[in-house]
Amino acid sequence: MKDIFRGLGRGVLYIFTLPAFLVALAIGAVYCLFLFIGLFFKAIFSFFAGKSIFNDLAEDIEADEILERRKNDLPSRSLEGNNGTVVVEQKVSNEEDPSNQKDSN
Amino acid sequence: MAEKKSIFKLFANTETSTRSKVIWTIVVIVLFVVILLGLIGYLIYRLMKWQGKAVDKLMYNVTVTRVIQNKKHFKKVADIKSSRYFFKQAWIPFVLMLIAALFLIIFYSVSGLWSFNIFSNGVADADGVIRSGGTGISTIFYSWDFTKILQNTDDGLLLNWPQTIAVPHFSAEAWPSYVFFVLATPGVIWFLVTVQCYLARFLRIRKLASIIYDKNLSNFRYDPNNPNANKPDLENYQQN
Repeated sequence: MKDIFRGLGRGVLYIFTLPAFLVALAIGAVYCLFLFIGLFFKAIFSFFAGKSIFNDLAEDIEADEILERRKNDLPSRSLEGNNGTVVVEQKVSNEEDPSNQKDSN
Repeated sequence: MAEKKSIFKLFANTETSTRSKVIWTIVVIVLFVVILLGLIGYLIYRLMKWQGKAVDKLMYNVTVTRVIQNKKHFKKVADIKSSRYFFKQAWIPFVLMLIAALFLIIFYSVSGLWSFNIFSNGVADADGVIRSGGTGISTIFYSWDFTKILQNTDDGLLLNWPQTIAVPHFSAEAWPSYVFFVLATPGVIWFLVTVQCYLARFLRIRKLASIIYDKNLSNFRYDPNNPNANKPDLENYQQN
């Protein structure tokens, strides 16, 4: 029942937003048509200049260099964790590992 | 003076039970259509979210290596990559549309039939229904007259079925229209899908830029007793 009312609410919402979506799509289509023609001519000029519009950007090259450097310099480190942050794997010695410490008392 | 007719008299002369059944049927149909529209709209919304995820893939390396350090730079690079991705996706539908347009231009030029209508559906028979002839794509579709479905009579407003204007039929004269639409229709639909993908990425780029490079002062505290209070805190500083 909840899903039916949710679908009904969405239906009413989309009926009102449909014209705006269609207008956005029409404007986007016109813009993309010009974008495509522009990129087409850019690709032709780049081709005769011995280049390609699909070449890596300077940022991509820099990023690749950084990743390569990290791979070479730090073989024991994994580069990225699940959330995109750099994770450093640490080897914990037996003395430092709290699970191996025995209660002296 | 004749009584003014209104749509509320649509079921004026029907039995009460029949009238309520018809009203309930209409209500159920309207609800069903609204729910169906909701599902289709939600499907498009989910599809656009999924299409926008391409930005994450395109911008992953340059973002996690911190090559890009501010919102403006992120948008610039992401827009360039999104445009290139669009070009890769759109060239096949663009070529289809181009071939269709060129075909029609060449046909008009060679035949000299500048009045050739790619939408016409033929000539009507004695009973007013079109069953043959025609040069347009409309020949292979039904056509109905919706202008006379509501009739204002003395008994009230009557709702009729629409009258058939044309029945589907193949016309040899319409072959250029068939060829044109066979090429142009998939081209246009495919192109619009790539445009939708581009718009989805456009929205995703703006959202990601505001999330990743968000300037948030909620956790910033100014403490005058701190010896470093007069020094700028640049640890978490973000440009733009």
